[in-house]
Amino acid sequence: MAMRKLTSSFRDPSGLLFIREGILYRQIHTSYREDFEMLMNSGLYRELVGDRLLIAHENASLEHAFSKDACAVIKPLFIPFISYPYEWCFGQLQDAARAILAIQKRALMHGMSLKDASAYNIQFVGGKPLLIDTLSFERYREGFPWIAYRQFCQHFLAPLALMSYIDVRLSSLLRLYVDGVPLDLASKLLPTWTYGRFSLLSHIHLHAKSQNYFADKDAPRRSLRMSRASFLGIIESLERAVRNLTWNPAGTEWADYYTDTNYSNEALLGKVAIVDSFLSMISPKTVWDFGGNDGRFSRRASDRKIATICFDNDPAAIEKNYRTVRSKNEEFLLPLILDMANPSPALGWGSEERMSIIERAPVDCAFALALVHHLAIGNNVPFSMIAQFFSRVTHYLIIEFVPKNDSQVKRLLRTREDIFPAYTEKDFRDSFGEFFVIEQERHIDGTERVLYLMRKKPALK
Amino acid sequence: MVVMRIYNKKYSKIFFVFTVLVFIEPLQTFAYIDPGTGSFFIQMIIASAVGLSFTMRASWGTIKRFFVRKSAQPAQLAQPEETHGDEKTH
Repeated sequence: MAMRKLTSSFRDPSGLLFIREGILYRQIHTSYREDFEMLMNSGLYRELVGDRLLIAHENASLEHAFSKDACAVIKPLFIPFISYPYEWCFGQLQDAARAILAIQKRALMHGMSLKDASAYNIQFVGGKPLLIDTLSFERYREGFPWIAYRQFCQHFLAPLALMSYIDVRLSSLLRLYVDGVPLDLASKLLPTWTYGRFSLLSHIHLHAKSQNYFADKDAPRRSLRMSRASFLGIIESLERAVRNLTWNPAGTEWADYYTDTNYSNEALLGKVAIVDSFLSMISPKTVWDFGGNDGRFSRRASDRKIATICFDNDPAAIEKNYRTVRSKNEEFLLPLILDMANPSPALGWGSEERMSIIERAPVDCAFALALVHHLAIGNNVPFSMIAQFFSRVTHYLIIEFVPKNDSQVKRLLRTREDIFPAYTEKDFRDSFGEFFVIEQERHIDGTERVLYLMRKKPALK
Repeated sequence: MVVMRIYNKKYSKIFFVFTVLVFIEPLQTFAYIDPGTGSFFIQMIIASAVGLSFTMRASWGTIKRFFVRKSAQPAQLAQPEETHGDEKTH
């Protein structure tokens, strides 16, 4: 029987994730039986699943177990796309932090506690943060501090504070540090005046110093007893700390793109109509919109209940998009930060813990609208390499060719030498023709631009 | 008062450690360590501070009533006269 253990679930001895005949299962180890039974029987599972805070699962036969130390096997709800914290905008990381703390408070009311607070245990499903690790709970032990406190501060509070008070792009530190931003680093980077804020003074600055102070000392563990009220006080203090951090998107290149573009209203409507007609022709189940900005075109897909991801490298555009998703309860659109010139790589132990963007492909259809000139001219990527990348991630491609006489291309070339003699529509078609079959091409009225619908050549797997 | 003395003894120690930590220079940690020890310890201190704040907020009503009653005593003495005055108007 073909079975494969997932490389992301090796840290927790309570169980493991594995794939059997293409279906994802989670095995629960005998050592975790009592905690798992308490989760299921205390009413906590039902309450959290009902409030869309915890992933639902079905019971599976123990015969499906991956190894002999299993006491139960469950089949979790399928999540079509796994995103990572370094791909989230400020609002997403903040909402994920709030979800963790809300879950922890509920758990305490049922005599349980979260034994980890990893941001990687949260996924955005149906537009909302969801805890996907059913084995994150343990029985609450009176007198013990929160075991996941350090992890929460490193995975959530420190990056949020850095994003809020220094620069929102510092979320990329989560890509460098697989177990969250080291607190001594966060403490060093944060402005001195943050010592004046109790939440940051205590949870980051003093926390970092305490970690360093006790690095080579034994703590007086016998005296480390914390009442339930104090435990709750810590959670509420963290809630306040997270709530008080803010960041508002403004003043970046792309956040106001559609108010600052050369598209007339008619041309924009024409482009929308062409994208709609292409979508009707191919009826994809999944769409990735690369360079999707605030999600205007992503919504042409997500409004049809197509699971859509809107990638952009501008945190402000993604933040705006996420706020719209949240306010309108949009379930089919997930905005994520991604720099196409340097997309998320494979990370973690053996470079297998976190998947690269290509490992999370393929998708049914990708959009590359008003993007190719930024890649070819802005980043000097030849057409053939752009075409090859898309052939690795999608079956269908809706791509816009922007010619050199377009004002946006002229703008890109205004301050630099034109070293792009091969930037012509013929070269574009020839390069993409190596990997794709051109199914449709439509000129966008009122512009010099052309929209193509391409299908990956069958020989290319 | 006995309660206050115990309370003060407990928290004076915590504040001492809290103050000491403020002045410790952060160092980069590359050693193989128990990463939880410092986190556990600071959590206890914060919990105490948060607990102290909670206790103060919970006791604030009692403290306020104590002082208000003291300062309100002359007014309370004067109250019957006012009431009497009101009654006169009827």
